[in-house]
Amino acid sequence: MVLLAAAICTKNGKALVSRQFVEMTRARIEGLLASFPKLIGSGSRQHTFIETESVRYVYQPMDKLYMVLITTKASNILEDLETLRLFSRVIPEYCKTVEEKEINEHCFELLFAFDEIVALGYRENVNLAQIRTFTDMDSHEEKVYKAMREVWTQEKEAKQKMLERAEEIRKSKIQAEKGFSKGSSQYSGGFGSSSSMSSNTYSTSTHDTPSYDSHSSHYSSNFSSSTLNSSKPNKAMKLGSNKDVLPAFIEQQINQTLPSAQPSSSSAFSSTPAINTEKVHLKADEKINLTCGKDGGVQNLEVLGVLSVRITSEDEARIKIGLLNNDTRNLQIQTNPNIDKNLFKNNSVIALKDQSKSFPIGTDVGILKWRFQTNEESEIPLTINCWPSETRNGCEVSIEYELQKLSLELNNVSIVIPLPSNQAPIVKNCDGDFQHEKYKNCIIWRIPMIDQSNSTGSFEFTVNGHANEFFPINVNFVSPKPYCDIQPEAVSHADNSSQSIKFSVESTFSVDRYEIV
Amino acid sequence: MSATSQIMIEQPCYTLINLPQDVEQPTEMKLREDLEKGDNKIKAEALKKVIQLMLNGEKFPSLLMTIIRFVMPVADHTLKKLLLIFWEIVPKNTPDGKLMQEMILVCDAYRRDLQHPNEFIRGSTLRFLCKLKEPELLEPLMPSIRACLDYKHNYVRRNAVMAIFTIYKNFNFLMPDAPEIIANFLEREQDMSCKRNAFMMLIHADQERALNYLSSCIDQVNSFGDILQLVIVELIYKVCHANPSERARFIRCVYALLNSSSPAVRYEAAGTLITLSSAPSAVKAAASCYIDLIVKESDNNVKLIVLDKIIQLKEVPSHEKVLQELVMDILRVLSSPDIEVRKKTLNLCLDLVSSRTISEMVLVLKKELSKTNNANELEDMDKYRQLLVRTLHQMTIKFPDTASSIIGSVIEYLSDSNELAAADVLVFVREIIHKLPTLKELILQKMLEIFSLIKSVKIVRGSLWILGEYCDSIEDIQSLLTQVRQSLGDIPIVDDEVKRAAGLDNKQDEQILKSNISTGTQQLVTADGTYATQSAFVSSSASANDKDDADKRPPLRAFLIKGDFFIASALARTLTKLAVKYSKLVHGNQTKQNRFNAETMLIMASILHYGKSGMAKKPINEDDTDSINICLRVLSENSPFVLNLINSQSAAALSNMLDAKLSDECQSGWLKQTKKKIKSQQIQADDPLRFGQLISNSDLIEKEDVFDMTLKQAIGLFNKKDDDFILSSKLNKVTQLTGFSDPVYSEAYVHVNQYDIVLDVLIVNQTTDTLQNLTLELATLGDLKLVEKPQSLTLAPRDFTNIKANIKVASTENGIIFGNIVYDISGATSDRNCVVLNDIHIDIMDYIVPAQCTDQEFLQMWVLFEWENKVVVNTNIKDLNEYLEHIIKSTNMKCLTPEKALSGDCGFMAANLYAKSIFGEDVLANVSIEKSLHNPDSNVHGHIRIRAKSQGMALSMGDKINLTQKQIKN
Repeated sequence: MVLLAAAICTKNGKALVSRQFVEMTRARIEGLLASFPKLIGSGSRQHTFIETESVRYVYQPMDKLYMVLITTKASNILEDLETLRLFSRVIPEYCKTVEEKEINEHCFELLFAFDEIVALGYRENVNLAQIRTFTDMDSHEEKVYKAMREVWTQEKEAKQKMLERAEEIRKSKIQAEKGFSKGSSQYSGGFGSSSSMSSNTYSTSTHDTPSYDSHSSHYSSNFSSSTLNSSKPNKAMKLGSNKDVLPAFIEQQINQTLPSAQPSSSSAFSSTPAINTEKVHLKADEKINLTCGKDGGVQNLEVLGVLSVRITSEDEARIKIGLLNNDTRNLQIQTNPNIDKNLFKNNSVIALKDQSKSFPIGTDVGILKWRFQTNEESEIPLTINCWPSETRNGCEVSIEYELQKLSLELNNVSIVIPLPSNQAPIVKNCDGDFQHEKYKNCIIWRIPMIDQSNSTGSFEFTVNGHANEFFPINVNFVSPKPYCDIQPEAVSHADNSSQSIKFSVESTFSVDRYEIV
Repeated sequence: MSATSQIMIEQPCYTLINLPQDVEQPTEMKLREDLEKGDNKIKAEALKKVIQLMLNGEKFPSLLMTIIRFVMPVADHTLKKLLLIFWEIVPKNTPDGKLMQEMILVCDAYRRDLQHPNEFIRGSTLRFLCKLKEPELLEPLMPSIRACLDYKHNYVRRNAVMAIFTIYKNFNFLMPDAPEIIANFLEREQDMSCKRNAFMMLIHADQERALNYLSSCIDQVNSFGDILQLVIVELIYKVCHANPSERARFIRCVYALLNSSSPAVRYEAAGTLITLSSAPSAVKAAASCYIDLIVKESDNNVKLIVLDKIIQLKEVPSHEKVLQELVMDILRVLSSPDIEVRKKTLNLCLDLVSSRTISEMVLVLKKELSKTNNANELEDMDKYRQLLVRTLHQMTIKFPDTASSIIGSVIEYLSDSNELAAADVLVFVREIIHKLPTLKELILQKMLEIFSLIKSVKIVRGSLWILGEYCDSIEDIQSLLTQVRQSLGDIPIVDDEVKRAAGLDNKQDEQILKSNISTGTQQLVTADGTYATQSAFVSSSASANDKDDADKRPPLRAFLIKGDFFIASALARTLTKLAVKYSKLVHGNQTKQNRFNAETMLIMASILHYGKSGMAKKPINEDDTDSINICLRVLSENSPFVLNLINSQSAAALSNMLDAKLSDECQSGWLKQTKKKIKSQQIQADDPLRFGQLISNSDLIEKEDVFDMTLKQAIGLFNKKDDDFILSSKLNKVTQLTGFSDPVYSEAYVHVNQYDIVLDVLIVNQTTDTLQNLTLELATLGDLKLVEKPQSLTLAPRDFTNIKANIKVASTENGIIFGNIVYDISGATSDRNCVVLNDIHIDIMDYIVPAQCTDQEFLQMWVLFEWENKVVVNTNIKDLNEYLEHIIKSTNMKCLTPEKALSGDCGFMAANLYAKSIFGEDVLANVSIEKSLHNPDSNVHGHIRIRAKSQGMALSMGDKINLTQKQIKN
């Protein structure tokens, strides 16, 4: 099981690249590699391993070169062959042709890739796409980190600006005081026009302005909690002066804000239109987790929903919320322990157990959770039918989607189909648009919106490969309409149910995992 | 100083990159500029170049700081990864063994990378740390490494485990609590790769914990991923080796893994199971698993290696019994098309076959044999058929009872167009007919039936001998004679041929053909079950063209027309034998005797006539003429001495030969057995006694851990020669490089390892000046390569130092190392001084080891090899054997010609020698020497031919022989 070295050799024994995975001297490895081609000559062609007194070579001829693995003699041959296959598939990934010059040119890329396959002589459980990811080093964390840093520098700039402006204002105030005119309106207007929301965040932490609530794009509202409790202005100043603290601070933020977000989903979020919020704002957030087989059949379909309420005015903190549950499916509904269960069961009304207490103010409070799980195919919101068929000049893949739940309105749908090779596919027919991601070896089919009007669509392309290499397909979308039909009907004061309160509702239905395997 | 150079040499090498020869290499200046000023791309290119050059022996001590200052701070990912490779190869110690100051800066960079937001940078940095051997550098990193263990990306975590593993292994004081940490980590970890690595670490660091973990999840083992299962098997193997009492606990787990979905795990589990238990059920389970793997895996490599495993299994006597029951399963492997696999399988089955399974196995093999008929004619098919025949042959030797059922179907293949299989059938038939007289009638009858269909001349020759020797009854003799007559055609041959040439004998010709048809037909069963008659001569119509004229004649005649008269002499002998026997059988009837004698003599005479007539493509040669003449004379003279010779001696000779062969086999078999015995019987008087009942299979415990052993072997730590302590021999290899009066005196001790030569050079400053920048410059000629340039150094007045240089050897060829020493004298303004060194010649004999091959292989190679070097013997040795011994001794070759063939004194000698270099090159030699018998004082003369695949080898070997010849002379 111990792999000593992986090397690419020419037919006459010159080692072009070799990576050793255990400690050995240079003379030893060179000697081993030099004796390899001589040993090949005597062997027959039917098998591709050679044993000497001390080691075993397992090799694969590739045009004019050999991919050779040197292993111990007790090594597991089945495992070694598996590894060898992976090694020899890596080479064409990085070199256009398998010949000496190309290998020389790309030797470092190959070395990096080799490192990913074997660790200390043991095979790692990786596939070609993963090796690609590992060597590309395209880290989401880093991007976020950079974005944060940018934000942070912007914040710094904005703060700087703010200080300047404050100075200006102070001066103008002095002037106004002198001239007895009102200057505060001018001041807040100045901030409203500032496009950077982070400057806004800062303004809230320094000055208690009412403009805060009206401005709630998703990004900043998520941020605000952490910035509010952790960043006082003087601390931010300290961060700026000490570089080493910065990563830790930002990392902490990253961890809080983006637990498992994917770039596409976060961009989708940011593009949902901001909803006008009332003092009582109800938010239903549903996530779907779906795995279904390529030949149909649902392996798992699970929708988790949370209804949360956010109250911004103390007057309206003691309320009852009436719900309308039109869903006839078998939903598992759970209430927050502080909610009066019986009341909810009997009347579908959500109110606190202790009527005298009020809902917390200024934060999102989850009050109701529901879970829906099924294996019924008819419950899949958007079915994807991928039909690859192998022909002489490659594999023809035709994919179609069908919106089964016509009540939904899916926005920003992206369907990611992995490709077996990084050759560009030939697209025949496409509803919506597509994008070929060369580095990730996939093709992304995007449909801006799917609803009743375009409940089916198809996409066809041709590419080299085998039928089973186009899975798993990943789907992503967001929908402003809920999947489970649970809607708040009315909100009223806890004491006086007749007096209704204005409220706003926002619902999102998004993808946690949507996979066709 | 020598200590540091020692360190340099033993530094492990993780990367090799070939440096293209034709490309101009940039200067250090240019590299520095690129590294300092270029953008990221240029920097990366320059760094790549630096790494490549350093890997090929250059040193850039001054670039280190440049890289630290200008490349290290860059955030680019590629540069970061390149830097990791750079740190792998850059020397981190000053010449006096202390850590370089600069490395402290680098260490800080590592720490920052360990906290980098990019998980891949973290991961690859952690992986690099596995290769870092400086505890001073690792120490400040420990907290960061620990923190990485809890990072959210499994890529980081799994590399962190690896880093902790190696650090703990190398410097356990840096992290004494590592096993505990890892054990805790393992408990909560979900990712398979991380789990595997953590588990592996525990196996090596703290088996107790690993076992605890395993027992906690032993029921779920089957649901684990394959890589984790593999290390679990390894753990069980290791634990049970160290501590056999644990065996019972885990054997069930191994059993369960025999059914794993991954073939690799099954293979490993089967191997472990055998070492754990020698109970028949365990061995059977493992062997069945192996067989299953062979049958199901399509890859030939797997088949061969797993077959080897089964063969190893067979070596243990108690296991052999179990395997015997599985013989029929093993035979399933024959469905694989590869000849190597089939060969191994057949050999294995042959060893395993027992009286219980023999009949079944014969059936299977016969079926396989018949399958070869309808398969497409591939080259391997012929070989396979030959193999099958050979196996059947050996089986009948083992179990003579089976002969009768086999022989009938095998004899058919005498007429096969494939000579290989037919020849084996012939050998088979000969042995059976000799040893089992009961089958004689059957065999003779079958052979007579098939005689006229045999196509190959060699086979006809062999069949004639067998028939001539064993046809004892009047009927057999007469029918053989008829067969011969028919297959010769009309007699006298010359007249017949003349007529035929004139085209007059169409009618007669047809008659011959007809008579041939009657014997030369074979009854075949067609697909629908009816009998079809097919004649070998149907296609030959009289009107066919002349080109294949010879083919249309009866077979023996055809051979003669082609000029193959050796068959004629064989025929003559057979006929003579028949005549003699016939006369004995009918000795009352003089007429019959005479008639028979006359007929045979007529045949011989007419062949002789035809041979001399010049009508055949080649005239008969003298040897054949002689032997036919002798036969004629024997028949005409009837001398009792010769008759006795013919009657009994040839059979005696055959039985002698077969006996010799048998005893040869017995001897080698006996040797094997005694070897086994000796191995097991090497028990000293004071060794403890073991009771099988108390400790089961104690001998298993004694075996070393196979994994560790093979690893050591592979890295080259295992076979270190211990002969260094003989100081005298070491001194013998010292070469003086400069003169005693040179300002710098130097000598080198040449130590030849397997693939490399280490030059241990002693350099003495003989002047009163300090020598600066003293550099040993070496260059090589032949297939040698300097691994690393020796570093330059400063030598105080009258001081001395040792420098080690490694030289790689790639093939067996006489190599020369030459070079010089250059230095500056401190304070002097003159140019660099230079002392040229004496050449060092590398002796190829260090690389040549005697080897063994069969005669056939020898002949094949002899034909194949392109380079021949003919050396004329020029010696003062007066004895042939003595000369051969001398050559063998001085060239390290092995004599393939058996000793018996070389004994005796007849004035000439021919012997084949064979050797192999450690690089796998073959070298053959044929010694042909003679010595006049009349003059005992004359020297041996003759020549030696050396053949090899490469010119260098042939030449060097010739040189070597020439040299040793001369040495004796002087």
